[in-house]
Amino acid sequence: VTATEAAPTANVGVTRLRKEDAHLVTGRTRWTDNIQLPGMLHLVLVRSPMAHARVSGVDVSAALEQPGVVAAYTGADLVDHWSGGLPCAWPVTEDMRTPVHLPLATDEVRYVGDAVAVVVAQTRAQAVDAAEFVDGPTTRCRS
Amino acid sequence: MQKAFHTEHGLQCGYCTPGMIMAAIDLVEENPDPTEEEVRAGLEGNLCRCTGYVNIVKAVRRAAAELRGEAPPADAEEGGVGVADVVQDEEDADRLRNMEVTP
Repeated sequence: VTATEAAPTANVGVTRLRKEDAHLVTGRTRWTDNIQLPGMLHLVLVRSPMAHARVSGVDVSAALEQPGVVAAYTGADLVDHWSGGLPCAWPVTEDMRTPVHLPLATDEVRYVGDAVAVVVAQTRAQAVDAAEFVDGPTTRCRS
Repeated sequence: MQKAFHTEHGLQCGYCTPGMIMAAIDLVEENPDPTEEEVRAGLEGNLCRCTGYVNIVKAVRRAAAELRGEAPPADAEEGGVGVADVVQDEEDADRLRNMEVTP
């Protein structure tokens, strides 16, 4: 055991006020959510309400008709553009199974909130509204 | 209200702070002397994922007292953030004093 020399300082036990509060309490902080760039578009994800289900025929055509919508894609639309899924950073055991996790589900959703489609619009409000027009029939998996 | 949030350490990352402060201002305008429970009910729906709500509630009650023209609540725990009536660091004090409130 090494003896530690007691070295009391003026700061131990003394309340310190934070130095970063001024911009935080006056609403002057820049979050990713309030960055505005010229010509910026807003993307909203459409997510699975089911924990485990097969995805069949997600339809973005009605969403595309909504005001301000620039594009809308399903997983199937984009699958050829992806080089792979989200890798597992730490396979705990050699036999651990790692399901393919693409940015958007193509055939099967595996958790509530798994993304199945995206809607891109000129404003966030337009994208949110249009996302409600994405139809996504799904079939529950039995497992 | 902004100064009270600072004094009571009512924020950490600051993400929920604008909503908390706006809701708190509205709350104390309607109820100048809210109890802890009334503050909690009044801020319901504003979620803080950093610190929890204890210091936020303290901040609102401190601001309410000051807005009523009273001394801030003296019931803060010994050694807790709430007793930081004296700003230790002059730089901190200046920064807060010179805080611009316009967006």
